[in-house]
Amino acid sequence: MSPKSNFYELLGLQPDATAEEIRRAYHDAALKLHPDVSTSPKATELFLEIQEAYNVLSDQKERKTYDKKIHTESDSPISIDMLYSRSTVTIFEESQLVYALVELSASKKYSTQPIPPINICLIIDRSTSMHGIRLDTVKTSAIELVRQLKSNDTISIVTFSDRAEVLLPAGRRSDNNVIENQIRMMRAGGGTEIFQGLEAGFEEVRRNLRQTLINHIILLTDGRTYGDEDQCLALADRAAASGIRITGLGMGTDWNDVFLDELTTRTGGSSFYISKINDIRQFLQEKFSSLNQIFAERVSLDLRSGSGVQLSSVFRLQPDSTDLPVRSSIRLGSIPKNKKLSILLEFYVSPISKDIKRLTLANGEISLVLPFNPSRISKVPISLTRLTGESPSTELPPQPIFRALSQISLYRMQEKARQEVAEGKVQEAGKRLQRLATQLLAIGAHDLAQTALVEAERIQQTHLLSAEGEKRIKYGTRSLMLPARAGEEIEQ
Amino acid sequence: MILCPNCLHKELVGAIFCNECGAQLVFSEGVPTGAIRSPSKGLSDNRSPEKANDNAAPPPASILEAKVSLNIVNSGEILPLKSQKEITLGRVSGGQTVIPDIDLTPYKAYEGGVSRMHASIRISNNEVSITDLGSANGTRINGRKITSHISYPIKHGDILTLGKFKIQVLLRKN
Repeated sequence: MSPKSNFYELLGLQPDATAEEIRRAYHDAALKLHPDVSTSPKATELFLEIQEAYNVLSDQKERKTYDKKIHTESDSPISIDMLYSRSTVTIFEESQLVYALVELSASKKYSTQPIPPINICLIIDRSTSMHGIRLDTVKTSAIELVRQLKSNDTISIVTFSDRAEVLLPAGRRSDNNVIENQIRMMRAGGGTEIFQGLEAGFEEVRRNLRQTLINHIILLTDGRTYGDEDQCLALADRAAASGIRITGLGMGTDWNDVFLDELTTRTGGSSFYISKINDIRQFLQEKFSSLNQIFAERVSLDLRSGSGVQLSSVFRLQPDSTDLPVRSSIRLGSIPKNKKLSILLEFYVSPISKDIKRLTLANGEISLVLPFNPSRISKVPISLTRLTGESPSTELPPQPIFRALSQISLYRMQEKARQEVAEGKVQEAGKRLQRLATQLLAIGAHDLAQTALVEAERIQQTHLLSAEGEKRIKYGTRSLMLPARAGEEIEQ
Repeated sequence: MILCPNCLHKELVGAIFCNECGAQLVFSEGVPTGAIRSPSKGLSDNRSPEKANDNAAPPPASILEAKVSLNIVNSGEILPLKSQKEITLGRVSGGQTVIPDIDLTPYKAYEGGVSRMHASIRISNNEVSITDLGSANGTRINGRKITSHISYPIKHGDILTLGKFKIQVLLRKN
């Protein structure tokens, strides 16, 4: 067989090609390669191959068996499932939207790989505002984490205020008792300069940096950093390039969630809001156990949009639901061992001309690192296409897409309301929050709806959202995007 | 462009939810045509005469006059709606202060999970819409659950499900 061993590739077809497309592709190829026409020495051989390909693919039953075979024989470490909001895009003179749900999961073949060790740094804000219960809770939670480390894990701890101190350097672990004592020694005092802490933490993780490890930074802060944001973001880019992911954890109400989002999503991580101080412990526990369940790290999606198509939004639904910045290379984070990495893409499609039979939404590849076998750089091609049709499709989108979008629309309303407040459009923002509250009530999120209503009222009086309310609504609606809510588990 | 039925905001074709108000924009298309009796045919011949003998069923004349009628799917009875602007549907039971305009109790509404104040139908000149009034078991249009307190347009032949209680909407064209 030729290097293009897949019948679809041989004929230049998509795996979901229609019978008509297969017939046409075969026809075109046969015309070019027929021994009577072509003089190329390899033509006959190729002609026989496309003949065989056509024989298999044109028979529905044989095609099915063949599809199954290439699926199980595929050497790809991940399987990619794609679902679209509709089966065809419509040929007409208006722009339209198409949604695609892309789900990545570990191939069955690789699902029994050992758990990679962790190389983690906790960067803890010890500014004056952390004094008291906040810092105490952080201390206890950190100590608990240390106790759970496996012998081959590495942990370092950095504290910062106006400057940073390495409380516990990475490297050989000393006695847990010594570590715990050091954690207890932490004292609050000073300002919040995130860059100081971040840089020190980055250096600690880098000392032990290996692609066989899960390299991670958890930043805990309760305040705003001033003037060093750009430095922080540049550092995040460096961290991402070295394969270090950053998780941001905001406590209280005075931290800058927009900044923390930007900082973390650049590395494939995300930010979280701790509204009740007691939740820190549980959050860190969950984060920690998810770091112990990683199949692939540094997953990134590189897409080139088709002509007349624009990727307009990207949402990660699971794990850690968040909106992701749209760029040519999107860092998606990690693929968990026994769950899917699900993202939802929104494509803006300009009017399509009649002669396009199949519209390319985007082409590209997914690249990732497998910690259990990092020498193997994995790049998996991905192609998102849709057939075109004359009549507008009236079908309902598949359930998972419908569900995801219904929650995303809530998150978007919240984002819009915030933007309107920032622009001084108080009336609009208030109305929008009320509508959001109606939708939240409808899905049974009563507390969140209540918060939205309170904020809607507040805007009318103060022209501002409360720092607490806006974070609650943002992170509340964001967490609704998690498909796990609906009891969706991976089928394996 | 598609128009949001709730806030009239314009959205691109292919959008599933309104960006302005979060209302659902895509609904399943009507029920299979075979299941629908066109009002003129269904009312004038085979069906209504025998049903008209029942005391519960209103006289055919009023059915023909009414712009909107409801076909109770279980019993086959047809209730014409008076041409008022808004009509509430529900059931009457003891100790109730607010009484719905149309009481569905005679049609086994309780067993069907209909709330006392379940939904309201609004009739305007060119549109008929339904709003769920925060009922316990919800309302569906052609099997799609609707969000309460938001009005959704309905058209001829649509099946409304209040709880498990099925009603088909019959609109008279003029």
